Amino acid sequence: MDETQLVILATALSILGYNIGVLLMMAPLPFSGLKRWAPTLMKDSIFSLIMIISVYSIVELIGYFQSMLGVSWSDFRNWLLIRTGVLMTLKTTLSGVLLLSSKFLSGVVASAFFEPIIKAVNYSLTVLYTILGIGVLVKNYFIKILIIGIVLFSIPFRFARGAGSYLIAFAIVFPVGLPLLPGFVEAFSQPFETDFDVQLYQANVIDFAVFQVKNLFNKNVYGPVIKAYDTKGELLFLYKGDEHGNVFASFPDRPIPSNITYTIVLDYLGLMFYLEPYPFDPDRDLTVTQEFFPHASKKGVLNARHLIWNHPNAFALIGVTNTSIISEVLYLANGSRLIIDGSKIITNEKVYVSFEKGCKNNIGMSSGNITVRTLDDHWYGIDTRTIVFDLYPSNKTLFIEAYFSGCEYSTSSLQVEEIRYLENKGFTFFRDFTREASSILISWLILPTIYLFILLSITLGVSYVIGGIRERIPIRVF
Amino acid sequence: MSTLLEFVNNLTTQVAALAWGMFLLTWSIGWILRGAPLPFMRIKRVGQSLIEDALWAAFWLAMGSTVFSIVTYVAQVMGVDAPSVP
Repeated sequence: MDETQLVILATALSILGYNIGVLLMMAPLPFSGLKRWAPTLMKDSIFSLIMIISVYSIVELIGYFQSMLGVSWSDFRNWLLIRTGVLMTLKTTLSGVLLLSSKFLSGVVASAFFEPIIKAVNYSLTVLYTILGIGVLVKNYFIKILIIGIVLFSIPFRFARGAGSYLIAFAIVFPVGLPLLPGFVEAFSQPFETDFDVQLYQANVIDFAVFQVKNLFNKNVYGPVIKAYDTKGELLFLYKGDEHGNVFASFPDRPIPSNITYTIVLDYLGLMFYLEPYPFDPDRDLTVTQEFFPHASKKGVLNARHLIWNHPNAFALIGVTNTSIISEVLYLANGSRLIIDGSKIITNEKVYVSFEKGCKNNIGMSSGNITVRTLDDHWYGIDTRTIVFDLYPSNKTLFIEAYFSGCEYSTSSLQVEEIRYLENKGFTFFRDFTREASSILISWLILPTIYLFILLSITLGVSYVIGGIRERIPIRVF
Repeated sequence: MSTLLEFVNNLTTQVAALAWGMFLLTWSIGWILRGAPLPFMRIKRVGQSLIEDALWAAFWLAMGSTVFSIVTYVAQVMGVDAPSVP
């Protein structure tokens, strides 16, 4: 249907309406409601004829409003395409994350975590694509919509007057209003980060595991704090363990790296112990196990080679700088006695006995070339005391022993602020998903929908002005 | 599409022809009612209104095309493209 043909049709309808009006006026029906239509019909047809004549000036008026408000269809289209692109990337990211998490949790639980954000992304994509489609329609066809509206408007007896005036109003309001959608949405939302790190969630960057921290004799370390450093010396994560020496680096919010080797250090009572395997390689050193399901499906055993003894239920330790000087160890639950071969000491070795201050302690040493100093410190909320034995070469056998009882602190007294891996990248699991989901929903779904409703109600108002007929919305208001 | 246009145009011509015939009919009926020897004043008033309406309608019918060309002329003066009137 050509535009000129439609205009001619509208003109013909106006003239028809006028003639019907004249006919009704002279009909010999003295008391008929039909006769009251006559002047209305004639006036309507004159009005619609004026509308037909001014079609192209209406189009120019629309163009004038567009230039006055700085409307650009290409900006509109680009804004929408950028946002749909981000959402599509986010979708692939999320499916990667879902795949990753299904290794540790059953599918039902994992999807329960991700359902809100996946739904938000899908709804937002639908709305944005719909708006893109409406934009294409309005940009290319608004003149035709305008003329069809005028045709409907010209039909006699006001049959299609409401619909016609709505279409005319639509063709006036939407070409001007729709490209202003980006401005409206951005006025009410914060700028978003477009760089969701996609590689992050390919299945090889992070992993979850339980670390078992043990001393030289494979006994559990009570309440350890482990820190991991990469090859450049940057701190990757800091986690604390429980009373069995287990550090739960588990789903959902305490990941560990899975694609790099790193060094793990035990920070215990203020002393640092390198943990073996050194360096830690996740491929080689994590074994699959079911004993910690559902927290994690892998575990890694870490040994502190220089930690000779630690108390199984309290914070107390004995450590040495060089284990080869020790010839014998008497190992008891509440203490230990070290027998040291003095001839194996080359220049200077140290034995550290650290304990929390509340412990009743019984520390003794043999006579010989040993100097003693005491250090007091504070370790994650616990007061500690460290006795440092400096050992010098001697051809005697030395011994150092330490026994503890009545220690007060438990693992719950540890005030550790954990540093989670990749936390500084701005994305930790689970907590942030709901936050991201709600911000996506508001900014990219609700705001555009609100703006569409604003435009539609403006259209309704304009159509009332043009056509004088209040559209009765077929919705019952309760 | 063009059949729709033809239909509307035919309808318009038919309505115009019918209108002229209706004018004669109504005018005659009006005068008959006015001149009837019936003692009811209401009939006379009805007849009077019929005559007036018929006359006004005939005037507007004749003026129909004139009205449209006036509107078109005003539009041309204001510099607007006017579509062709069939």
